[in-house]
Amino acid sequence: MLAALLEMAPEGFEQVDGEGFVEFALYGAPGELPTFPDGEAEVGGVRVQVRGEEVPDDWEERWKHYHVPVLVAGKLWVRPPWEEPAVRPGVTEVVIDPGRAFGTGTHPTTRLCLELMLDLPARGSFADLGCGSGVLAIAASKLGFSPVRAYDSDRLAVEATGLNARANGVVLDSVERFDLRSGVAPVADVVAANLMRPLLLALTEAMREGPSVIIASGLLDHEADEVAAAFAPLFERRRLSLKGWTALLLAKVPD
Amino acid sequence: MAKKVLTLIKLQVPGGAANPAPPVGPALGQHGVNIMEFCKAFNAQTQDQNGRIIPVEITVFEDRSFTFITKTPPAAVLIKEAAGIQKGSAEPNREKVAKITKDQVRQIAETKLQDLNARDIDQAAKIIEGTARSMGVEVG
Repeated sequence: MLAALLEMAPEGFEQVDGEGFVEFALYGAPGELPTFPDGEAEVGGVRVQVRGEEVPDDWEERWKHYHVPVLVAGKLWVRPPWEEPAVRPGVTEVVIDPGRAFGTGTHPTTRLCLELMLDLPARGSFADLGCGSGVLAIAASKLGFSPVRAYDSDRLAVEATGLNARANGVVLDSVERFDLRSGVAPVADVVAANLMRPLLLALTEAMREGPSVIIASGLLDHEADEVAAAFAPLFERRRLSLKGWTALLLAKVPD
Repeated sequence: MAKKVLTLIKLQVPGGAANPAPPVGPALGQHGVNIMEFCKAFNAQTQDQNGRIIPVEITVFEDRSFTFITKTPPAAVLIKEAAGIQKGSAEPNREKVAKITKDQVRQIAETKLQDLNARDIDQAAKIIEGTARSMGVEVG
């Protein structure tokens, strides 16, 4: 029966274990789901009860009630638009509406990137590879890096970055779709790559000309050594870890 | 003090390729879980699975933070891979669609052993054989 369900719903399904029964929930917009007669049907040779239920319309928004702003290294206040602005002097504020793009600014991988960015002198060019909601590019621009360019392979991320930059009063020098598995990586003095291990390893191959500094994030703790070694001859200057995630600051010259 | 559990969500979704579309989005979103945060963590942990369906159990706490554990792919998925078929038989008793060897069954049983209610590898192999037969896949 599981095999039959996976054929009907290749993107997967939910399993709910009840007392003496198991429910399998297939999700989809009207018209996207397989058609079953009301009452009973046969799936994979098994007679099953079928019922339909509407998911509340606001499922994409509910997490926002539990999303709180973060203060990074006492210098950067990252908040969603529905939260109050920062009132602390000397604190730079970045407002991020993540929409459906990666990067609320509160995820450990993003926080670690921001913390490492705050460690650097804010000058020279900056490239955000895998920009998601644009949080790193927008923060870089606000901190003083210039020019700042943002790249992502996902159209939704490119759109979200553009919208968030405007909402922050920031003009990014470019926001483009780019897949680093099929091209030469953009060059900048500082490159932030909040990706995952396979993409970071791909980045080492896609870089013709190394940046002065690269911030590599999106790594599980146990993956950090391998990725740091793959970026040689860049030196590992700093390594931060939070909730099982690691970010690396790698540079052409040792500290 | 331990955080209070709100709910447990069980999904079967492609490893390394979870996204906020159904089923992940609505299944997690209606409980207030940050969907993208889950996708990022799940994809990082299952990046070597290349889209293979992976069962995942997500424990959601009252503050909507979460933890999750992944399990081995469903036996049906592993049997289809071993047999090189896209789908099982619609009439498994009458129409056989493929054949797998005892060695392949044993390999699948070893992979699945940690998640099966089986006392040893022989019993696990019997369970896998039963699943194969129910899909119209012969074992021999």
